[in-house]
Amino acid sequence: MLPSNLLITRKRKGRIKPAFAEITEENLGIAESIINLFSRCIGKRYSVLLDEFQMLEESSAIDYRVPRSLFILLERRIITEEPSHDPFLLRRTVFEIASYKPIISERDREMVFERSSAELGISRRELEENLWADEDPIIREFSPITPDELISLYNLSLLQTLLFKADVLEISLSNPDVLSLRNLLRELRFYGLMYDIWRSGDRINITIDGPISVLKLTRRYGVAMARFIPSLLNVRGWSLRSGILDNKKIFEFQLGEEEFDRYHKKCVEEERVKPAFDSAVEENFYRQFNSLNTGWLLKREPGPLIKDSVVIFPDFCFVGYNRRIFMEIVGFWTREYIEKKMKKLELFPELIVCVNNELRCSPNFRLPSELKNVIFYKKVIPLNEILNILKKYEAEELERELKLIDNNFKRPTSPIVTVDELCSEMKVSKVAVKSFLQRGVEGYVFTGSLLVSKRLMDEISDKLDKLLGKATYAQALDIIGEFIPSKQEEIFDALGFTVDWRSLNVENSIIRRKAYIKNDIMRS
Amino acid sequence: MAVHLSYHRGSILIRGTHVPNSRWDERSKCYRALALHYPDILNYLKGTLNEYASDFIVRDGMDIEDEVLDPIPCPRFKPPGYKLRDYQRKAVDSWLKSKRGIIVLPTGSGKTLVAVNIIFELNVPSLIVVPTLDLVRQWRSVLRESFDMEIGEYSGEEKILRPVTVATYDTAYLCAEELGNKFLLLVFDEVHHLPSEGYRHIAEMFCSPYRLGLTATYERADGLHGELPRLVGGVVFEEKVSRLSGKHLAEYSLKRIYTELTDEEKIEYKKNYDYYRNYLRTHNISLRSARDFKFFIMRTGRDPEARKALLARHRARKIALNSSSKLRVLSRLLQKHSKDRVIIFTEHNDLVRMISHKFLIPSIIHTTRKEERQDVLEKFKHGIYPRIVSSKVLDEGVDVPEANIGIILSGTGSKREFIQRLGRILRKKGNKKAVLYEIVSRETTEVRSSYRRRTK
Repeated sequence: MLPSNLLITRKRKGRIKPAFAEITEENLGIAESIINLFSRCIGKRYSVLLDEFQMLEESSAIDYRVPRSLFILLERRIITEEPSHDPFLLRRTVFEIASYKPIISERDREMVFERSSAELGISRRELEENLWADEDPIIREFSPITPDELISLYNLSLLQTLLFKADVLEISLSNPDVLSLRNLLRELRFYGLMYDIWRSGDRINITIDGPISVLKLTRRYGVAMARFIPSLLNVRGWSLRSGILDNKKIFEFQLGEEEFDRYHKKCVEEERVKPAFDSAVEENFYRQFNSLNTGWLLKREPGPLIKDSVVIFPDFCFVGYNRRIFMEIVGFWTREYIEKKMKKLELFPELIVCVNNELRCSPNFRLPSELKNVIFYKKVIPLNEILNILKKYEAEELERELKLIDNNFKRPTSPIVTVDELCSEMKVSKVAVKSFLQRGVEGYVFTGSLLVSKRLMDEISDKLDKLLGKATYAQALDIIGEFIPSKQEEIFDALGFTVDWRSLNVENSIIRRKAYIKNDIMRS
Repeated sequence: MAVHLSYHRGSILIRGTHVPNSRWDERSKCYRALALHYPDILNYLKGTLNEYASDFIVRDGMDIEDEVLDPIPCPRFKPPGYKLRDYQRKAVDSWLKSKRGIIVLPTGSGKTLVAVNIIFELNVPSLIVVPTLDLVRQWRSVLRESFDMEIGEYSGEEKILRPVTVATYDTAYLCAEELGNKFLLLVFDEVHHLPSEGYRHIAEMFCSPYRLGLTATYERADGLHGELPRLVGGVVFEEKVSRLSGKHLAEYSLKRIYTELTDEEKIEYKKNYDYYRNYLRTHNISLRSARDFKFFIMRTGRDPEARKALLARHRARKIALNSSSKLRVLSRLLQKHSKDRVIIFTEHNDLVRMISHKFLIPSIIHTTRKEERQDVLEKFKHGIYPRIVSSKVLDEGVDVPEANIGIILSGTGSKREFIQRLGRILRKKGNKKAVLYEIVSRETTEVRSSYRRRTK
């Protein structure tokens, strides 16, 4: 962040933008010359650095605010020498001795210094070197930086300095990962900011301002917004919009990640490690559930749920049956925390909430009555109860899909339709299609994975009837294959035929009819 | 139905009804108002005036649950052991009628004592807001002596919360969210600072019903004093300098000393000043107002030539300011007043340092550490240091007792600054006659600045 008089902006048609420094040869050259100046001045007095910089600044042809800003950013990277004697104590002695009369001649000064060094018990040289050493210290260390890092830092500082004057900050994130979003919201609270948050498609939008922003236009929260910016830059896919109050006018400011990347080299991002489980309870449950074949996939840290600007980050999510069912585990925690949490959970009645049994005993614990799926657990999360809840959703989903099929199903035109085709055509699950087809379709026979017209079935049936007791199983399947490209075994069974096995060899099998079944088929 | 009032970071949350000056806040699902309006809201709901005692009051069948204030427990204050002068008594009484408003008194007329008396009369947790660290120190010591108890401090250096606490404007601004419901009385020293865009938040984000403003210069050049009635209350008492001068304040005489630049300085000055003038002439720029000058400064960002011209102007002014003949005059004055208490002002920190180094006179500038600042002021007060030099930091209200000679080496030409710099040495002590010297270079732009200062 920089003093606001060093901020350079471009304004046009009600819009404002900081004049970011491009990473060009020219700018890198300026950055380098100032960095070199600092390196050269290690071991020298601060005033030397300042003098040399002023010369450099006066000779440079670009806007003086750029080199001056770079100077300020680098100044923060120096460490100065501690004086060997406390200058304040030295001055006290010198001033007291000098106070007996106005010191106006060189002789007077000499005498004051002589007497002072004698009284302090240090040499004249030590006295003079340390007397003003806090005003003008020796530079001991300078932690260097590369020119492009310096330009990046400068551009970031420009951005932050502009935001000092912001009255509101709107950010939009495309598909942020849970961890970053969580950090972001935590950071906002830390800086005393308030937010509105909502989702639109893949994007999460957050409008940021402070408590009194609803009452008056204020830049009071600009500094907090500026300090918050570095956390935003760590999230991928950000863009921001802001109102900048300048000279009693409001300018609009917009910036996106892609544009800013031209000016700001990101620091090498640390590898994001999936956080460890909060507890063994959660870890065991996760492993156990995913080893079962339930048709549901259990995911961790599935991302935020947002409603009325309230955000929660559930621990788990069950994905399947065209649904995402979220689950939150409420462990044993402080009273305020639990109260706050319950207040939030009210807004999410569908959430599965697993509550530590011990909480039941704690005073004032109250579960929001809105919650539909509450499970208490002691040491492990009861799988059965979870599965029971999930079954409700499975049944619900089946119900919904059956309705959908009912509304959309038309008698097929071709004699053979596969279940898979129907699934993708109506975007429903196999289970639903099958259970629908089992209810029967006029003029068709459902064989398990195929819907075949009755006429075709009859034709095949007649052909096979003629070969009863003669043909082998393999021959029968070949004959069916002439009409139907796959699942011949299924058709064979569905027509009510069976096989007499004479040996293990297929050639040695003879087909026959399970006579009583035929009528069954005809009926349907 | 119950109305619930609570404090949230500089504002009042109102649940259960709508009140004037409030607005619906979707984020919190309730109405919100600036803390400033707390007394009005309460009065509106209760239909009565100025009572903050009870928690549950029924009006039109409405319960008020008021959890706004969280005041610091406050002991009974000891009566201050001094007698007020007539005009001070009048000031206190006028303010007590409405328990809001501003008292205008000249520098050196004992504004602090007026405030101490008011704090004593109300006996409620009080926050005093002052412009500088020196004033924080000064107020704390007066309050400590008066009430014989520990006084809190909220500044860049300390965060101590007590029933009576002194804060800087800066820190009060920064901490308004957390402090806003802890004090019933706010005292703004040098209240003309308050209406500036940032500082006014202090008045707006505190819910304190009682407010007192103190100043010697109510009016602001930018007209923003028009905000003060809303933030603190109107002027309830005013006493002019002229009526007090000679009676309670020391008389002073003003002596202006013109100096000539040396020949070398003249050449250097002319060279730089001509360069600057030449730039203006060739670019057809005329600088008639402060606004013109601002545009010129903006131009220096784009145009390196304008920048060079500006730097030349700086150099010229620096030559005029640091002229060696000025320092010779200064050294003569120091000799002449070797038995007096002398305070030297200049707004340029470089010049303060130079004078301090050359004449071995203790200095105070904005970067001087608290410890040293106190040491210097203390020793000046007791005469151990008969001379000090300082930049702007001593401008306002800092007690510099016993100073009878002032020397101004430069100034910016603002009206307020001038009065208050004068005020600094207008302390009545015996029959001492104060003298204020102003050293100005002849035939430089500075003469005009000095003229502006006097006539405005």
